[in-house]
Amino acid sequence: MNPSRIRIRRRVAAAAAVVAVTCVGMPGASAQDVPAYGTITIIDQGFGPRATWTYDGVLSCYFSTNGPAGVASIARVFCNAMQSPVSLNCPLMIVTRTTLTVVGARARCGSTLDMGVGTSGAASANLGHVDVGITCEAYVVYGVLVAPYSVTCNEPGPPTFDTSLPFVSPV
Amino acid sequence: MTATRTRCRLVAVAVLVAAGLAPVAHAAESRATGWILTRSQNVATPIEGILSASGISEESAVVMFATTGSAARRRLDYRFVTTTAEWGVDGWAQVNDDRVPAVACPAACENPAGVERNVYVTSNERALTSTVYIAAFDVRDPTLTITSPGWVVRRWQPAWRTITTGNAKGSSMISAAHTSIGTYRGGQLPGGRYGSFASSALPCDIQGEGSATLTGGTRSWPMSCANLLTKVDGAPVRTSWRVAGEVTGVGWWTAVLIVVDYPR
Repeated sequence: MNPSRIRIRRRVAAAAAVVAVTCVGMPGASAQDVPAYGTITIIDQGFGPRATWTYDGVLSCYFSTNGPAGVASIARVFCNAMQSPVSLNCPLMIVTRTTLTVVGARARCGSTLDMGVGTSGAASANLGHVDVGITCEAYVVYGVLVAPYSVTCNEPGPPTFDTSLPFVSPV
Repeated sequence: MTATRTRCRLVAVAVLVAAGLAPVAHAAESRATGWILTRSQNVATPIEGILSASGISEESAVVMFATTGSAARRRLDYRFVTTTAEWGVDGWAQVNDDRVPAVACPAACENPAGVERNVYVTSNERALTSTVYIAAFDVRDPTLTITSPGWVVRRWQPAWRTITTGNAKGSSMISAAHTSIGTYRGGQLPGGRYGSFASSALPCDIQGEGSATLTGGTRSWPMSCANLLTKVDGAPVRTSWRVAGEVTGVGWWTAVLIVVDYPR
């Protein structure tokens, strides 16, 4: 196929994507939603799980851990959005985990991105409108959270489309 | 004749009590311990530390929170990392069902003890102007180490009340190894005179369905197995904390409602 035609098709596809996101919106998002920019991290370097987040002043977050028979199998941060003055969404939640063994990682806004239990890796998804809050969890279903591990739930905002393709003028 | 005998008995009991020979009821030794952390100077100060303790029952847990303001304006300060950590140990199954008679556990069926946990006390470098409270229940050898300067630590005897999956009235649950299965139907606990902190959890974090509402604090909080399994809240005045609803499932929470009174 003619290379210039390919470039034109790419430009059309990128423009269509921008129009679709702008006019139709992200799935599950309402017109007033703004992205819940921020990061939640759960980390255990061998001294017990601890949590950090960047939602101060926007959401009320708290940390909880529990598990069977004296061990931690879930470490969870929940950031409450029910009293947030702005309606939030998670258009591009990125869940990242690092571990020397296996750990489960999941995030929830309106829907859930569950990576399951596994080795280091990352996943991302549009989790839609934040209904009650943002949850980030490190977990193991049948076992124990084994340090060291970390789970990060990062919402950077909607995906950006590269519209800076070189303009090809038909000179 | 009967009145004379009664008087004689009362006098005899009084004499024996005075002599320290008669059995008298003692208040059970408190199972809760705690610390209050205040700033040594009137400047906002970050806090960093760690609490190490061993669990000694199925209800071993720690809650920590911070409050700002006083009296009716006392509010939870979420700049501190508000935390609920449970690491209870229970080697014996418990049945909580109104249709099943309670069976006293023989002396031999003690829970394994001594599982140590570290729980961070932190504001994640955020400077606090609040007072931090740490309350622990059924723990042994607790050691609190605060590594950030500018904080004064003093011991505290918190009033700790709890509903567990093993004693929640109207619920039908079987618990073993800090894992519960069955139906939880909520419960109610009073808060203290000067306000209280509550931590509520639904025992369906592994699997389950249902919903409940936590009331008694700043507002009514809808909880569900699907999207809000745990909730903390504070009340600056005397209140009654209530979880109303029904969830059925499997979960790791043993203490499903913890209430810790604010000190004066």
